[in-house]
Amino acid sequence: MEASNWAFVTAAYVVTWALILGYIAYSQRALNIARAEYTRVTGHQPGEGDAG
Amino acid sequence: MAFRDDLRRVRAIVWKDLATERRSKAGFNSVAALGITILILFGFALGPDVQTLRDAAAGAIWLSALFAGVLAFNRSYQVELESGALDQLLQYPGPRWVIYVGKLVANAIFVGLILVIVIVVGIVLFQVRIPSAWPSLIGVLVLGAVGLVVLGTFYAAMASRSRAREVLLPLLLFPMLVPVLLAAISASKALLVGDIMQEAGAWIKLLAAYDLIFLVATLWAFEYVIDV
Amino acid sequence: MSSAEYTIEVPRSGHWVAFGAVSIAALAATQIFSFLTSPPDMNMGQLEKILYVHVPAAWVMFICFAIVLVYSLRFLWKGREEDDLLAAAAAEVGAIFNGLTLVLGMIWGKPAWGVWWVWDARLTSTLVLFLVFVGYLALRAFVEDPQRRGQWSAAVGILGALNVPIVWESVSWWRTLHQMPSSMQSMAKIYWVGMFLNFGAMLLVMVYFIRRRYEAAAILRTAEHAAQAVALGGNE
Repeated sequence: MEASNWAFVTAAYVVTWALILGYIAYSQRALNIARAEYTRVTGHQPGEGDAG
Repeated sequence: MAFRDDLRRVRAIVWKDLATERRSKAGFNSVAALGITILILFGFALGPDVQTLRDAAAGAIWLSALFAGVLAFNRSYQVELESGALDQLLQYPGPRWVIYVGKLVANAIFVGLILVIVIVVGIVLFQVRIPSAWPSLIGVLVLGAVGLVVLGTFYAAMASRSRAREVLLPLLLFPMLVPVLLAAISASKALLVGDIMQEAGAWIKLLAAYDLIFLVATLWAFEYVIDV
Repeated sequence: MSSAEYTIEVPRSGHWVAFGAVSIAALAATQIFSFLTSPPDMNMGQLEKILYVHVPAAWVMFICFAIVLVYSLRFLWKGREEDDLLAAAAAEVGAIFNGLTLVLGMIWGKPAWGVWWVWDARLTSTLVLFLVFVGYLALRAFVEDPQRRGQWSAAVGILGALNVPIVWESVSWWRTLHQMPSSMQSMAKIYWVGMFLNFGAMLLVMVYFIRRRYEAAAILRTAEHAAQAVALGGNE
């Protein structure tokens, strides 16, 4: 009983970190796409220049 | 009196909405037929054991009315959308709540009639025994129907004007209706078997609170949704 | 109309990367702390360790709903696009934590109850709330015009948030009145320390996630504004 519960605990934490790291990767990708689009349209990086 | 003008506008909208339906009697009849068909399918899914059907009757009847009613909600904006009349309607002076209340009343009448038909057929198909507490049951039906109609009319104002309206309306509406459905079905079930645990009263209070909260909230929010 | 007339303040990443690293580290640290300090529960073996993530995730989910509510109201009131984008970011992050709560609830439930799903009050409510988030996100996906999308999302977000306590209560009654056993055993005090620490760390992660999501959306939106200005013949 105890041993098999460890499997579930492990699964829980694996799922948690997979989701967290996965979301970081996903939001990073979204950020990259957004920045690329911004640079394409305005010609400079977001946060620099006077378009802010 | 400005308010009286508003009321008159509401009545005009109600008549207009209903007249469109009535001129297309096929509209009402087909929705009613659909409600009955869904009810029959529930019968197949849950039956044929009589006791099981009796237990499930409240749920099956409410869900059948809901699925059929969903068609009514989108349609209540459809006619104007197709003819471009919605923009014209918005040109007229007058507060937006007038449009909303008009559609609410029209939908309430439409869905109410559908509900009555589905109930009558359901009582027969599911061999429901009418309880002595049937006046309370009518109260539950009215409050539950109001809940459905308020949110249905509101969300349809958006869904009917977007892509994928057929999926968007149920997708938005059904999770929001969970409290109404739980309350209406549980109260109906309890009343049908004599309500030994006195739970119907609590559910009815929940229904009333829900209806009030969302009636106020949607009345307030409607102008943000219809004007854009 | 020059694009300078309406600009979303372009968010700067600056300190946020460091903030993100700190929040992730904090989460790992609190989890390790909880593992080391919590003794195994009599009945549940090691199972209560799942609660250290499951419960804080649920609390974070509620906070995301609150953020959606507040920023939706602000958007309707002031009409600033930033508020709409922040609400949308909070909704997405809320959906993530909502999903996590659900999955962890099921992983906890399988050894505890023997099945992957029971119509337990809290789990069921969490499922319904997940669908509310999904509806909000679906609406945004299906509406192109930004003004319309913002106002419709705000209305849907406000109504959805209003419904959270109602859903919670009604599902809870639904279970109580039919006399099913309640889900979680009450926990000893020792667990609450770990619980709140984990909650604090997870809150930081939530803030970081929302910020990142918002940043991407705001930058994209600003780019769209700029592109429109160019297309309309502005010389910005």
